[in-house]
Amino acid sequence: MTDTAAPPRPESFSRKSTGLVRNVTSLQQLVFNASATNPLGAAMVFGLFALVLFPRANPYIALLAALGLGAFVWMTFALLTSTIPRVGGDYTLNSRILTPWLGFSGSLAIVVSSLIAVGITAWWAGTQGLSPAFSVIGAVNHSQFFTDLGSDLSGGNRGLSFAVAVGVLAAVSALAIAGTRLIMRVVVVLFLIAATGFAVDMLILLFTSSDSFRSTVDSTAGAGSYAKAVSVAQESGVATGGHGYDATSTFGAIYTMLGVTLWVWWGTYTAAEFRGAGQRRRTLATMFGAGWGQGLLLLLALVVFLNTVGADFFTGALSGGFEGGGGAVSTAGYAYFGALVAGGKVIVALLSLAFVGWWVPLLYANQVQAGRSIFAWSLDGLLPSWASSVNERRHTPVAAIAIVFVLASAAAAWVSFSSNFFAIFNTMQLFAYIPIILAGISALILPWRRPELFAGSPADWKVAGVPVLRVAGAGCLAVGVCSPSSVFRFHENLGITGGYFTGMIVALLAVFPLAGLWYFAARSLQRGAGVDLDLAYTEIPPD
Amino acid sequence: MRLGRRRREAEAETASLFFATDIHGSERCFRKFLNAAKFYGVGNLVLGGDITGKTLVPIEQTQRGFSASLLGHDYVDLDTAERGELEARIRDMGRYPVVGERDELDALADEAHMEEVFCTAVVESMRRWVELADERLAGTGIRCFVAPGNDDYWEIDEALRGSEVVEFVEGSRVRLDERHEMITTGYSNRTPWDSPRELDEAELLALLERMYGEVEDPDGLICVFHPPPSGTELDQAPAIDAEFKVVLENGEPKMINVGSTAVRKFFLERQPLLGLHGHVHDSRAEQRLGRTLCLNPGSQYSEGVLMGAIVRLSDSGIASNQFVVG
Repeated sequence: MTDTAAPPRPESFSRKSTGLVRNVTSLQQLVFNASATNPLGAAMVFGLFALVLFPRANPYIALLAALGLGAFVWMTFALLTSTIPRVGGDYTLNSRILTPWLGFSGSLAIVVSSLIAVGITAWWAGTQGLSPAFSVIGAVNHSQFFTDLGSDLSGGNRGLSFAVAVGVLAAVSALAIAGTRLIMRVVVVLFLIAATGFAVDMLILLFTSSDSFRSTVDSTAGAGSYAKAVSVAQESGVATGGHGYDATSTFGAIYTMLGVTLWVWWGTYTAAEFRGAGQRRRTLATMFGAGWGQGLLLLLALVVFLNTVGADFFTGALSGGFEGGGGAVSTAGYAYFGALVAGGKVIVALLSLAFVGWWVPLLYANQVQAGRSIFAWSLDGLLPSWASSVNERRHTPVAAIAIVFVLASAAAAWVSFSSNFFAIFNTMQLFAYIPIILAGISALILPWRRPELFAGSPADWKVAGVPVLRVAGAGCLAVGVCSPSSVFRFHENLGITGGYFTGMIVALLAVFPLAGLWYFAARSLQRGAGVDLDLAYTEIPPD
Repeated sequence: MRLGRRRREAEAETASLFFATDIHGSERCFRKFLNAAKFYGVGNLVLGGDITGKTLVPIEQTQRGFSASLLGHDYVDLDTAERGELEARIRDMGRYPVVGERDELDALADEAHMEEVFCTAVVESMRRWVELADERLAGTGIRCFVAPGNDDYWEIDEALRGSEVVEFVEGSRVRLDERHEMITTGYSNRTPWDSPRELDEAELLALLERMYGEVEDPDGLICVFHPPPSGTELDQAPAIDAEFKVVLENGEPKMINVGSTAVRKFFLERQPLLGLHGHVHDSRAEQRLGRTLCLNPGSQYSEGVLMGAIVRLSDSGIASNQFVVG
């Protein structure tokens, strides 16, 4: 058959029947996808990690490279999602195309990653949200109480940090159980507050010259504070001034930036909620629009921040060269320094507290992902049926939320009492690459493994004779394999050292046998109950 | 079904069934459905309504060949064999190919004419399906129960009744084994689309009660009611406005209950053993209403994926149930 441009003709005529629903707009779907990934302010924090972990890295090149590499992953998930649009997520896609236990392996890995992410995010709500807020309020108001509180919450008092993390987790879980609409309202309101604060922060920094910023720092923290931080950066070898950027560090920073930009593919989890996900153009537009749109905004924000604040001052401050933050100057510095130069006490408080708003949406996104997977495992018989129980009045998956709360609290304890945050953070990232690797393989073998599904589907697409899915799948697989591999090269930069490094690799590799053991044990138990798990996703021969 | 819910060794399976619903014209799903009994090792097939498709795909005939558009692909100047392949693909997705010259296809813009052409295509397709069912199931001992759903034209009833093996069970009671009877209806409560087989809740409840009156052993009763009970996880669908647009709330589709209050009331009062439902494609779920286990296996007909539920029955009730994606 030929497949070329043709004169316009009506593609179809639909009768009036149940379920005939007009699509939501692409813009609405794009916003939905964007909110499912790292919200901008949080992405800014993660992006600035690159300067901490890879001194003298060029963050702009790293970000652009990450946006380019991410395109392979987005394209793969977009095409697979538009081919199997009524179900969301890597679990179903990989289970149907590969095998159920491999699909489960990827799902188990991403759930482990999400649970750690929920724990970290809850901890961040105190250490990166409340701590800088209190610190800057204390600094501007010369309040020792707030300065000390900020310092304690930054990790100075581990027990307090953990208690705040569990409190935040409990509050978000309670809201999620009380009703999806309620938690979504809270999430949207906090998101809007945080986004407004972010925009104001950036505008303040945009219209503040670097000289003016330096004066503010010196007047707040004492004369010479700015120069002192820069000299600390130079002495520590983390300054770029006069030495230019370092290519090796920039290469390492790409991995960090991928951790910021890659997760737009989580839009696949929401595909089932939106009609039109089966349309390739729409799915691609919404996924790439969200990914590149946020990436561009992040790039602009980085330019503004680093131009005004100065990369050397920032890295110097992070290296202990700035005492004005009461110990709470972290990578959340954009909010800290934006608020600092705002001047007025009220606006300082508002901007600082607005920053706290990022963490609940981020926490909830991860909580939902883990909860949905646990719910799906239970429906498929991989967990007891009570794990998919739903509150009849509120229609919320109570058990799945409770499970996530318990396991994420353990993760919060881990990060609260660990001395190496970045090791845990990168463990979280690494686990999330497993479903990406599997999706790349799924894309590569789909035409042969499920020819009837592929033929004529949105994934059956060639541009200038090149099969897009195959190229995207190969790229996705390469990103999925090479990005974590860079951890081998840069594990010391990432804080993953000694026995922890070995343990992390073992844990990663253990996902597959563990998932296999889990799957086959559940299959054996279910057989005893008259249920054959192998049938769950096995296609019935039509002829 | 789940871990810890083991089937008692002493309990023998008395009957088993595979339930699927809302295949909406997908020929691939129907062919799978006919093979499902053998594949899953069950004795009964139940198709719970909304069997017919919703979309016509025009194939334009010109002097150069046949041309059509499908899922963003433009197929131009196909020969007869290629046209056959394309038609098969269209049917597998639950759509109906309609071949004609440009002016004939343009005439489909007239709604009344389109309805007429649609109905003809649907009935022709149903006749072929019935022939296929007769061919595959005759002499196998497998029973195949079918009821139309709210979206199905009245005209398909005659085709279904003409089958040698397909049992047309709309509004009736059938016995599966000594312990289990089944009552079936494809009627739904009112929808915004004003589909052919809709009833007010009171009328629907009366229909359910009429069928219940014929049941001899209510403890083992299986209810195949196209709409799920209202207020459950089986009937969650996006709210739509007057223009059939999804209503968003906080950036997400606003979900509401669209099931039947009559079905819910019936279940709470009569407490049958099992409720099998469809109607709401994306609300795949199982939930108990008191004693009654309610299942909605969902539907992904347009991808040719047959979603269903396997249920194995014993003297004491449901031995096991499992959702499958076939």
